[in-house]
Amino acid sequence: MLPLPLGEGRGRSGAFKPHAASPLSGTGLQAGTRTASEGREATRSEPNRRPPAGWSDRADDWLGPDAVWKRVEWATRAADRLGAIVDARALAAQSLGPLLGGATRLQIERAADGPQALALLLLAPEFQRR
Amino acid sequence: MPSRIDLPRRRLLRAALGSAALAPLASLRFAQAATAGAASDRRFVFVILRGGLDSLSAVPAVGDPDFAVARGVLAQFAAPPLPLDSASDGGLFALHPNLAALHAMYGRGELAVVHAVGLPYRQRSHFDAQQVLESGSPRPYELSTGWLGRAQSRSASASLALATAVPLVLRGPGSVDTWAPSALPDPGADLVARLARMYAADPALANALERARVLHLDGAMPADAMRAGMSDGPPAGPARGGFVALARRAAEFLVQPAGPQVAVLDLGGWDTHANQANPNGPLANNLRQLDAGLAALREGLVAGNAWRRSVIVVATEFGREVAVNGTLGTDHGSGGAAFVLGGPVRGGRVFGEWPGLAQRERYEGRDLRTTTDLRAVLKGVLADHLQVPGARLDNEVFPGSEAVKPLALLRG
Repeated sequence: MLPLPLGEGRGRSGAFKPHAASPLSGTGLQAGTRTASEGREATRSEPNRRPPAGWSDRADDWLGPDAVWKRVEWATRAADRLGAIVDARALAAQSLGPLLGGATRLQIERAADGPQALALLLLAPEFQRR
Repeated sequence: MPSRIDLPRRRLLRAALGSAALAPLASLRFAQAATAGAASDRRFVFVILRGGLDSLSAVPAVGDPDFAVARGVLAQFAAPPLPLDSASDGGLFALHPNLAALHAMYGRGELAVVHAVGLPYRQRSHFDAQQVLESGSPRPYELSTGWLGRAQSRSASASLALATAVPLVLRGPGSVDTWAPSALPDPGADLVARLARMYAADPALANALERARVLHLDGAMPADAMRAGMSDGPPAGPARGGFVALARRAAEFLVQPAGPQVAVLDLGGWDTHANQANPNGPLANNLRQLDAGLAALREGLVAGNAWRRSVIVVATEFGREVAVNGTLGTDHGSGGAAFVLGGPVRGGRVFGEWPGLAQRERYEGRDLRTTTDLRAVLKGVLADHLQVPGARLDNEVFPGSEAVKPLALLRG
C-alpha cells in the first residue's frame, strides 16, 4: 500500500491544503460526503449548505449515539472502498500534521489492515472537534 | 479521481506499455500463447487472511510435547480438535473444531496444510507485512505491483478481485475486474473496540459511542470489557455471512469458460489480541466463516466442473506468538499456517519442517519459527498449475527469490 500519491491530487485540485478540515479534501478522492467542524465549511468551497445527516453543527446533535453511529457506518463504507489504495498513516500526518494526537496515531499504527486504519482516521476526534 | 480502478486510464496505460520497448518479447508471447491453451482453463484463487491468523489455534500441534504448556489456556478447545493423521507425522497436527469442512477435504486428499511457513519479513507490522505478502518483494514498499498481477501480465483473461478496489496483489500491467456485493459493510466489533480506545480521552464521544454500540451490535457488554476486546460480536471484515456469499459468487465467475483465470478474496478480523479462547468470540466465529466460505467455493467449483482444475491458496501476513498474552489472546508473530486446496493438490498431508514450540525453539523466544518461505508455496502453485516459467518466477514475479525452491504441492 503506497502513501497517497500527492502528485495526482495536486494536479487536479490546484492546491493541496495540509491540516485541512477533512482528511480527504485536496486529495482528489471522493468519499461521498464530507466532515463538518463546528460551523466551518470544508476546504472545498461550496455555497452555504446544511450539513449532511450525522454532521450537524450543534453539539447536541452530532454527539448523540445515532449521529455517532451514522459516522461510524459512513467511515466503514468509505474505508472499504478506499482503504486498499490509501495509506492512512501518511494521510494522517499530511492532513493533521501537528494536530495528530497520540491516541489516534497509535490506533492507526496498530490497525489490522488498511481499511480499518482509514476508518479510524476518518473518525478521529481531531476531525470532530476543531 | 480514483486512479487504479479507472477503466479508460488503465486501458491507456496498458496500450502504452504494450507498444513501448516490448518488441523483443512479442515473439515469445506468441510462442507462449500457442502452448498456453492447456493452462487457460486452469483456475487459481488467493484468499488473504488479514490481521495475522493465530495458526496454532487454526492448526494446533496437539502432538507436540510442549504444546499444552506453551499455549496455556489456548491449548484447550470447546470441542475436540479434528486430527490430521498421516503416515509421516503420527498425529502431530489437528484442525480447529470449527474447520470441519476443511477437515473433510483433508480426508479426501484435497487439502494440504503448510505449517511454520512465513514471509521473509519479520517485523510484525500489519501494514508492512501485508505489503510484503502482496507485492512479492522481501522488503516492504519496494514494489507497487503485486506478484499475482505480474504473474498474470501475459494472461489472455482478466483477473478478478472480489472487493471494491483492486488489492495490491493483483496490481500490474494486466487488467483486473472488481466485483463487490451491493450490501454495504457494517462496522464490526473490532473496529468499535479500537474506536473506544481512540476516544478514551474524550468522554462525550466515548459515551456516545458506547451507547451506540449497545444499540447496534450484538452481545452488549460493559464498556471496560469492550475496551479490553473481550466482547462477542460480529467478526470484522465483510458483514456476517458476507464471506460465504463472496466465495459463492467467486465460484460462479470462475466456472465460466471465458471467466477469470485468477481471483482474490479477503477475509479480515484475524488480529486477535484478546479473548481467543471464547467459543463464540471473534476468532471462533471467523474460523467458522472461513470454513463455510471455502466449502461454498469448493461446492461452486465442483458444480461447474472446475474443481479438478482449480487451486486455492489461503495465506496470512504472519502467525501469532506461541504464548498467550495478558488479555487471553496473542500478539503478532512470524511463522504460521497456510492452506492449499483443490482438485490437483497432493492433499491429506502437512508440508513443512516443524521447529518445535519450546521457548528456545521460538523465533526471538516468542514466535513459531518460520522454516518454509511462503514464496516457495506460491512459486510451486504458479509453476505447476499456471505454468509460469521458473525464470519469470525468480526474476519478475518474486524478484530476488532464486534461492527459494518451489514446493511440489500438486499431483502429476
